[in-house]
Amino acid sequence: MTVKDPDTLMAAEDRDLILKAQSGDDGAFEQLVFRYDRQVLNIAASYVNTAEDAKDVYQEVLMRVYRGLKKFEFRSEFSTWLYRITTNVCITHRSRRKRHSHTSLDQEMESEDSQPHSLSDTLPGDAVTDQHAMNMEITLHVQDALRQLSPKQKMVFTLRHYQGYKLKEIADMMECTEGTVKKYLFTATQRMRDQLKEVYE
Amino acid sequence: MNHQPYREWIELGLSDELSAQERLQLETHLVSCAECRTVREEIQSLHATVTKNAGVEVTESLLMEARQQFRVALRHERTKVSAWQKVTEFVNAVFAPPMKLAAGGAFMLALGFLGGYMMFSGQSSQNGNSVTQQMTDETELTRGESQVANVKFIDGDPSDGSIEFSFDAITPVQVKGSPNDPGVQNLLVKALTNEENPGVRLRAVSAMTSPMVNIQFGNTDDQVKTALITAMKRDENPGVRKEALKALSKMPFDEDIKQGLISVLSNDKNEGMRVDAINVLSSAKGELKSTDEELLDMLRQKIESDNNGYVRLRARAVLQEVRQ
Repeated sequence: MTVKDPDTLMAAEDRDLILKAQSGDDGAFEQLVFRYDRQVLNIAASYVNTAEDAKDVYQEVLMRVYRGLKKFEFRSEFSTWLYRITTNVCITHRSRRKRHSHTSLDQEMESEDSQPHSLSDTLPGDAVTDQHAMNMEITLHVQDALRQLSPKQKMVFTLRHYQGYKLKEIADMMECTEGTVKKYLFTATQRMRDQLKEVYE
Repeated sequence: MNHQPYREWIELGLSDELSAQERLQLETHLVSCAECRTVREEIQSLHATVTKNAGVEVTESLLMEARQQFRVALRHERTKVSAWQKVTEFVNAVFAPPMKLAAGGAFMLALGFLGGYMMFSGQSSQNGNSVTQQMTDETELTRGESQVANVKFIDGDPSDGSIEFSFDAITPVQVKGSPNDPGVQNLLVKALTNEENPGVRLRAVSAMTSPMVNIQFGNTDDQVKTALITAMKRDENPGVRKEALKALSKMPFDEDIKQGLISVLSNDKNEGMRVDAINVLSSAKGELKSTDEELLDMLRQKIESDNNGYVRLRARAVLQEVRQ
């Protein structure tokens, strides 16, 4: 008797569900995506700023999976494909927001010399004594600093720091080399350090 | 001296992505380089600050709400697909030779009935089983005859005449049980989120909130509340949205319901819905906090710009009461 490891078993079950979903079994589709959707929401939530935005991203990702599943040819793990779509949707989602606020995406890698905001510029003048309010303020400042990153830098930074993914996993998700991921990560870290220095000091 | 490789190793070392040799070299360098030690401390502090202050927390309730909203979106998607299928079927019917069409249709139907009878008579569907497992002993289930629909030919082999096809065997199941039964609630939630007919969705909300259900005591499952919030915010039918809001107003007021009401007040174009939402918020004013900036902002916005006079008036009153 051979004992299959959990990953192999999972992949086999995924395959079965995918084939059923491809032939129109909606129950199988739901079962398949609900195996991984928590992580989709986790990635979305760590990338965007509000729960509503996270749900929007989640829905867009799963709709793309629903529409594209018929063409899925098992060239990668289903989860890899799903998270790849998730990172794409996150990046596009931010792009949409940026367009609304009339900011160009072309600044992506070129804007690295822009001046960081100082914490004292954004914190209220009066001393904030309440710890809760202070924490909220720090959270807002972290989000503000994340917003200053390019979409890809932000994606790499959040996957790494909030979700704990390794470089190779991030490279697989974003369909680029580990070297490129490193470049985004180091630039993002440098910029975050500059912008949040007053927070963590 | 070029410190850049060490800076990169510091970053990679945080997630244990250095080889043993690289780690050793880094540690050796750090002993003698105060500047790089400072960088490492800064990166560690940054990591701690950032992870402690993640913006959105993914709770079970958020996941359930996302799933409900996705189900609603999927239902719309399927409706769009089936409408397109109807158009293509119509075009095919117009342009295909009538005799061929009639013979093909009759053949498919006969095969479908035969296959359905042989394979599914006396058996229940998988979904039916999963629902049955959740029913209590008091809940009665009655199954009807299987019906065959959506017959599709997959392949045919001219050499021996064998064919391959698929079809949906639908077995009607009649359920009689308490609306407090988790299995029955599960079915009602599915009806509310998946059914295309708004009348059915309306009946599902009514059944969930019948006087026999213990929702006013907070005993209902979270999935019912989440489904009702989703329906209140997203259902395209105002009647269903209104009924869902009414149902939620009977439940214990909490953060999820408050967020749902804020969403209705901010986004629902139906004035009746906004009036109901502000009334529910007003009646729950004891639960509202003067530090809730999101709520206060929304109320201020309503006072300034809602086109309904009553909503403006009530928003002003709620704002004053919350501030006191």
